[in-house]
Amino acid sequence: MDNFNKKVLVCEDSFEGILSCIYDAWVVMNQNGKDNVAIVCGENYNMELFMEYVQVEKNREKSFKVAESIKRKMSFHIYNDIYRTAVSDVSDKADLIFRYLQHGFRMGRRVSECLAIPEIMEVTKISKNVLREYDHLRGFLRFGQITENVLSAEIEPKNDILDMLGNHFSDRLSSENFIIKDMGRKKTLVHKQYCDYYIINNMLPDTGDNGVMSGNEGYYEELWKVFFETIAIDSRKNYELQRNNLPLRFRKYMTEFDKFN
Amino acid sequence: MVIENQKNLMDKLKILTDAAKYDVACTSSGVDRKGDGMNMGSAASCGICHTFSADGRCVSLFKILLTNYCIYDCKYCQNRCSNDIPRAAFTPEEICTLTMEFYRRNYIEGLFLSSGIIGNPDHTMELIYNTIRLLRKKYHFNGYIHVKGIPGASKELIQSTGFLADRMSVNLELPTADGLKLLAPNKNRKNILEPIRMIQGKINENKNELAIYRNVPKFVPGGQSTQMIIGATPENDFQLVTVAEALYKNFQLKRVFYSAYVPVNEDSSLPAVDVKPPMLREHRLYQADFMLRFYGFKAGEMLSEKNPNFNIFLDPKCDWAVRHLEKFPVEVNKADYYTLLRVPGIGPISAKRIVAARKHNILDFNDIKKMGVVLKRALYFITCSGKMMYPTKLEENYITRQLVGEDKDSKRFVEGNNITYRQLSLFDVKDFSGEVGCYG
Repeated sequence: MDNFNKKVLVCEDSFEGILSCIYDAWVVMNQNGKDNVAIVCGENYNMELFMEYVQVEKNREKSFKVAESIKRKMSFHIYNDIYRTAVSDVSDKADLIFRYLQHGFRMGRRVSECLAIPEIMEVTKISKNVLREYDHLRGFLRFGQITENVLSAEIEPKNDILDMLGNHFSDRLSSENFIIKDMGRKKTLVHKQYCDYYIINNMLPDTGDNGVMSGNEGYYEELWKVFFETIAIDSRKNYELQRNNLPLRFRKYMTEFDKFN
Repeated sequence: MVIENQKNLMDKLKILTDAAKYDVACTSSGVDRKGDGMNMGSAASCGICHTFSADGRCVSLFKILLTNYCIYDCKYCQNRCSNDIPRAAFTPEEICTLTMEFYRRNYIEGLFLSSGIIGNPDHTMELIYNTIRLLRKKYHFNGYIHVKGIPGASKELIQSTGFLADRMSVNLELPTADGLKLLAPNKNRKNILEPIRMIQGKINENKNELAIYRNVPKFVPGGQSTQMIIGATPENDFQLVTVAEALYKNFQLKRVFYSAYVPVNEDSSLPAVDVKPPMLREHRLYQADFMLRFYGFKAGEMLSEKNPNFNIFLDPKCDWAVRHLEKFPVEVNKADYYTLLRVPGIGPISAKRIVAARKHNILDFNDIKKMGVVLKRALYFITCSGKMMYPTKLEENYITRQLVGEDKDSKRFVEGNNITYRQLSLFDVKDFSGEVGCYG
């Protein structure tokens, strides 16, 4: 019978969307009890019978409030864990974060220690996974020069880490103009030299076939391939180990694996 | 003309990469430096692997020699002066352009510059210094730079280089002075240890200065490392680990690298050319190295004069545990961090998680499994709330047999030979071949 009271809040699949939704869910929770509210994000969720579905629009002010209280009442470290979970490709992440924060606002910063609680262990693991993919792509991403002074890279990550990569590369290559394209999500990050970067949703600029690069481009790619092939020691060849360290899914966009595909 | 030039650079790159590939260190760790907002480059303290070569090793830095001309005649080295091989030398400008162009395409994390000895040690060190000064001052490269210190070069040169580099390394080459005398007649132990000692002193001095004046230029902020060749001379594992321990303790090295000897030259004092590199042994040494650095083990605990080599069928930690069953089982809910770390199947991450989580709950086997403990290995050595996971014999041979079955490394190395634990005595296998992981 109590299913009739159960509300499911539906939100946009983004960090801001999930946090806004949690703000609203808190209100519902205080009225109906925590077992009678759940959150789903995105569009492809399974509907259940006898539930009330409510769409929640993202709201900058609400999400800002939630983010600030996570930082203040828990810690910046936990805020990062939550952020990474929110950009992961886990389907029930929104509800997971909601449950995590229920413990969090009760226990404060020590919540991240309670790894025997399933939601908390889960968020810790997801966060670590996302971080691992980010670490991989920081290294495996390849820029190609498309015009005189514009670099372009293509990636296809499992998690939505374009923003994290933007932070890293705009710091490292602040003097360069570059774009990074998330081919799966159809998002593009644009960085103009010495400026902040921004992300455009639902757009993939046509930078031409990746093979056709400007001027000297083929030359440096060739040099890099020569280096890559020469640096391996023949008597230690170990493709299995190479595959463990550099999974095949990354190689699609990597210069040195061009000819192997 | 341009085309001719390009071809030359391509050939040079090939020759000087090939000449540098036996150097092990390719790590870019130890320095956290944000971009400066103007120039290119930053450094991440954890290091970043940019690709993995066909031998499965991490490629982080653009690892090349300035030149492979060399006046020395070290018997193990392919660049020895008596070898008839193609020789080449980069100009500093060429190295800078390659580094910058590779870096902005995110191929590399920085430069690892080493060199054969050309003319004399001072001249070589000066060439290296000039190259990285050009890279830092003219090209404004702010990424990672690792350079070799050349033994025998003047103190001033090494010092000025240190203010431009992130990490310096002086290769120990061979673990003992006798080995060095035998295989590298032009080098001597004293000459090698001198710059290591000097860099150590300067790093400490610099740290003290930094504590007072924040803007003092940093000297080798990523610390120094070294490497030694194993399997070319008859040292046993106990000697190697003892040397490594002394290096960490007395010289405060960040890393000691081990390089399985790959036969490139024929010489009566070297192993035959068809001997395969002892990679499982190298792998075990790296595992032991981790135990020294992160697990609080001492060399004397792992090995002794009587038992001087690692059991190749078990990783050193399991091996230690089965030989010290009197210290087990330990109680997960009570044992301190370092005691937990000594349990096979519990690493630094899961040990930290256990220590944090048990403040709030009493942990059972299910909980610690989720935290990343490998119960297949750990179950013989732990209890949760006084109970073992299931009744099992606490007997050395039985546990060893179980653990050997679980050891992926030795399986990988002896695959196809159908060797099982019972068919072999544990300590008499000398000839093995196989592969090894990334130690970046």
